[in-house]
Amino acid sequence: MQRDRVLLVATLLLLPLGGLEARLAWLQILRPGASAGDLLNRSLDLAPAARGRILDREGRVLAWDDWSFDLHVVVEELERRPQAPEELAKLLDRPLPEVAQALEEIYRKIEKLMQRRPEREKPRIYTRERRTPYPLFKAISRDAAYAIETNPDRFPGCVVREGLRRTYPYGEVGAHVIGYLGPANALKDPPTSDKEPPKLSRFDKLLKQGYFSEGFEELIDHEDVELLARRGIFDQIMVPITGVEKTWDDRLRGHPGLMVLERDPATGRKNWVELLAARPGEDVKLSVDAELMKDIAGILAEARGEDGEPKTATAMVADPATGAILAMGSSASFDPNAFIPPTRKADLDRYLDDHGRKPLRNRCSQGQAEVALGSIFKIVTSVAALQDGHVRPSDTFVCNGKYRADLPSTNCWVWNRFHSMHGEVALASALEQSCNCYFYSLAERVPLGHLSAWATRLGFGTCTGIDLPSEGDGNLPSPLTHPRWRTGDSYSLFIGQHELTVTPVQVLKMICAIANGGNAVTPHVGPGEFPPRPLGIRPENLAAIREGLNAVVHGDRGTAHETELRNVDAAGKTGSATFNVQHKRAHAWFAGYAPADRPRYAIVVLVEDGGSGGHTAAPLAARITARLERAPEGR
Amino acid sequence: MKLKRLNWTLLACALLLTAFGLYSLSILASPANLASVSVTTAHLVKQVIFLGVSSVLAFILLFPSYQVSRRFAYLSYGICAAALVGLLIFGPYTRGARGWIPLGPISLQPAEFMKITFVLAVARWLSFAHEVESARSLAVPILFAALPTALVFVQPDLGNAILFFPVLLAMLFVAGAPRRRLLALVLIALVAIPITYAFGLKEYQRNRLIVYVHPDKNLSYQQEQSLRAVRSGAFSGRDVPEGARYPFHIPDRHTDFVYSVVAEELGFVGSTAVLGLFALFFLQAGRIAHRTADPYGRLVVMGLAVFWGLQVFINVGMNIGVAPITGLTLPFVSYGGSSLLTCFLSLATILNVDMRWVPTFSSRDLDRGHVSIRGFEPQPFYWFRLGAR
Repeated sequence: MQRDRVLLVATLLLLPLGGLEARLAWLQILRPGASAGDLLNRSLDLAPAARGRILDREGRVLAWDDWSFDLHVVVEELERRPQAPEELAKLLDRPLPEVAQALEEIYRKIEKLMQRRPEREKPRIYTRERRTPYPLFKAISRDAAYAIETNPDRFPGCVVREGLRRTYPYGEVGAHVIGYLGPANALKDPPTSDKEPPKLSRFDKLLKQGYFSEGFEELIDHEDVELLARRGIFDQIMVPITGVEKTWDDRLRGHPGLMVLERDPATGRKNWVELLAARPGEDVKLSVDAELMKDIAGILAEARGEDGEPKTATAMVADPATGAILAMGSSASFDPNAFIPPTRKADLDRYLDDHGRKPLRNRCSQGQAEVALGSIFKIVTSVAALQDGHVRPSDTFVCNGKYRADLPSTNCWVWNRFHSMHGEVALASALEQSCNCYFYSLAERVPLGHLSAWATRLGFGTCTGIDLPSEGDGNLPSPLTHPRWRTGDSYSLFIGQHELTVTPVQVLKMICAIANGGNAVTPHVGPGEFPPRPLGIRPENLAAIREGLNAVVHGDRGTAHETELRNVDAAGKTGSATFNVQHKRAHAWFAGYAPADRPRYAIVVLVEDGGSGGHTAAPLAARITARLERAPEGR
Repeated sequence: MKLKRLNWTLLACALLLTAFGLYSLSILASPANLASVSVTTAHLVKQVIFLGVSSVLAFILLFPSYQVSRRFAYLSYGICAAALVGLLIFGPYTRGARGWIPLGPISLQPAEFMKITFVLAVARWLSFAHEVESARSLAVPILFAALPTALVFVQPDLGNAILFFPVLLAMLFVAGAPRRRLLALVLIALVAIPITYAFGLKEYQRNRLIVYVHPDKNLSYQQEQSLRAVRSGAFSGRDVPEGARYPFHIPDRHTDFVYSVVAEELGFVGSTAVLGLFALFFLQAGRIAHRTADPYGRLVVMGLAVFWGLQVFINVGMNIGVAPITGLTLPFVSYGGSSLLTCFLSLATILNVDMRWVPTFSSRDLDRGHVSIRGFEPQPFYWFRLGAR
């Protein structure tokens, strides 16, 4: 019986071959194809996919993919008409040497492509590449594109392709939030669990990180991949470098398709065949307000230090209830459009340093941008002292100008500046006048561990979790990190000096917690759920601190009283963080909220090397607050 | 071991098919061919080297009896399975799949070798008739098939993954499994197909299958080009007009779409010759399986034949537009070291079984001169060895 079954299986194997044979007869004898299509040139290329737009809270476009016309050229066909480059130069309004140089570049690319190939293959590759469209100029004018497309005889071998070019309409405004793109050779290896990451080609890197649609790799030959790679096609794919472009890349990125360009060299007729459709990315709506950022950028540009010199100023505005950032920006900013090809080297070189301003650095959140905080930290000290019951708001201490004769660094700032003293101060008045001696006295009562714990809880020394790349965590010094800790160090830390460094977004998180009734928020710009977390600060303590912050602005002796701030309904704390004792240079800070009784905005302003917070940062905050008050209700 | 008993027909089929493969490769690698510039003379040289190595290995394998393979069946299956698992963990990505182990200038594809070891392992299990009857007899071979199917499927390599289960069914059938059990298996498979379709497949893979259900949907460019190439071959091969270039740019033309090269260059005559050679190959394999008394040998031959038969059907089908693109090679013809080596190893195994088949009449018939076999003399020792197994 088993042997009969063998016969049955063998027959079943042979039967389908008969079917295939019938199909072959149909195709090859009854319906033979013409070889007319044989004369077509074919070349494979990627079909660009639009990246999603980045919108602000009102739906204004912060970034989008604009159409651009890219000129490609098939050198073999162009050579047929020697005067074509000259006419091309005239049409494109470029000097002839530039066109000649661009053409030379293509020849160099073809030469490079043939390197390290066997001698016998070279003629074949050479012929093939000379029949392949190579990019000549990006973003040519619409008129030129039409002229070239409608005159295939005058410009033989010129192919205009509709490309996409990332465009940032607001330019420098909000550049640090939005980020920018760069060509794929900036791409890093994907994270792998293996100890030794596998060596991946650029294509495999892109593939693994999801830059292509599923099934892309099966449509394309292994050798085609290499060919496209050698032509530099994959290098031209734009990948996010920083900002929202990077953090929300999964949603924003489009997946390029694959297409074949069929050209008839005799008639110049072209036909695109789509192998795989390109898939555009999705839009991302941010919490920021573009117009607000624009106005704030205008305000920050006028920042002056106490010495009258223009200084780099940074500001953030957020909704304290949710942590949604409404505006963030710095007067040292850059135009992300400059990074999108065609780029100019001069721009990029300038942005790298720009006389120490370092405009590429996101001063609001990025690591390496942390600076000393100064007196604003006294809010944290107050919270720690009140919460753990070490002092009551009404407890008073006496400020003699000098706190300890044996430690000259423990002088109150009024002594250093005016040889004066604050006298008897309670919590609110201590905050109002930023009395150092009051907080030195707290250092005697509050254990350092309690202060560290509250500082960490309020967001210092750790990342806030903002959805922007490479966030800095700052430095919260403690005896654990500094083995040679001395008493003087504790005093310094209690007024926010010593080696404490912070990012503005950490300060924003802290001031949000004070403004919203004691909830830790996650500052964020993108969509998503970021639920606030209660910190357990007792309302009466919070009220005492907020009374002090109100007095800073509206009290007769408040550190920010002599500014425009007193005319607006706001509260906050100034800070002058000494970073160079010898030359008495300090960063000027202001952190506050408005309106004072029911805050809708949290504001942080930092003027680097600005001197006194009350004199340089607070006026900027006043103008920002005034601008916010003009904004319609509910924002 | 008698080389005289070699099945020359089978061998000739295989060698001619390989020759067709080399011919296609030389067409693709010719300097005039601008359409597939990616295939070079280096491919041709590599393939000839693969061919040499494979032939030598296959020749050596003719000497020990195929019964030896029975002893190593489970072990080799285990090694291949381990290689597949290792590949999924440590394997490098090549074109988005983890199917190849790079070894310097060449790379091995364990899925190909898995085919042989799978057949050996299942044949060994099923070679005891009583095993086929019990319920356990079905569970173990199903596990044998499920493991490579799953491992190859997640690489992802859909084409090779779908082969294992039909081969298992054929082997169970030949081993004499009860019809109701086979029917149950087929039903399970019928249930599994839509589930896999809905959850296991990716969007693009589904689209490729939909093409065959919705006639108004277009074939993929790759297949359309392949069809045009096949049709331009006409009866006796494409006539080359003045100034014509080799037109058809088809990705993976030297591996998955090699049949379209033969059909284009040699026309109906060439494409039929290739199909005819395959038909003869399977006919011979069927004959060998039919006359072999040893159930193990029969199962091995049938298993391998069904493997290659399915692959031929799917590959040629996708070249001429009647089967979806799944990324399977054409045995003996396609470019690729692992594929060629596997083909030659299976060829050696089938030839080996054929060389050692013994007629199932009694020795008395031989002794009395009722039956005579060319090149075969009764050897008491020979019989003894077989009996003591």
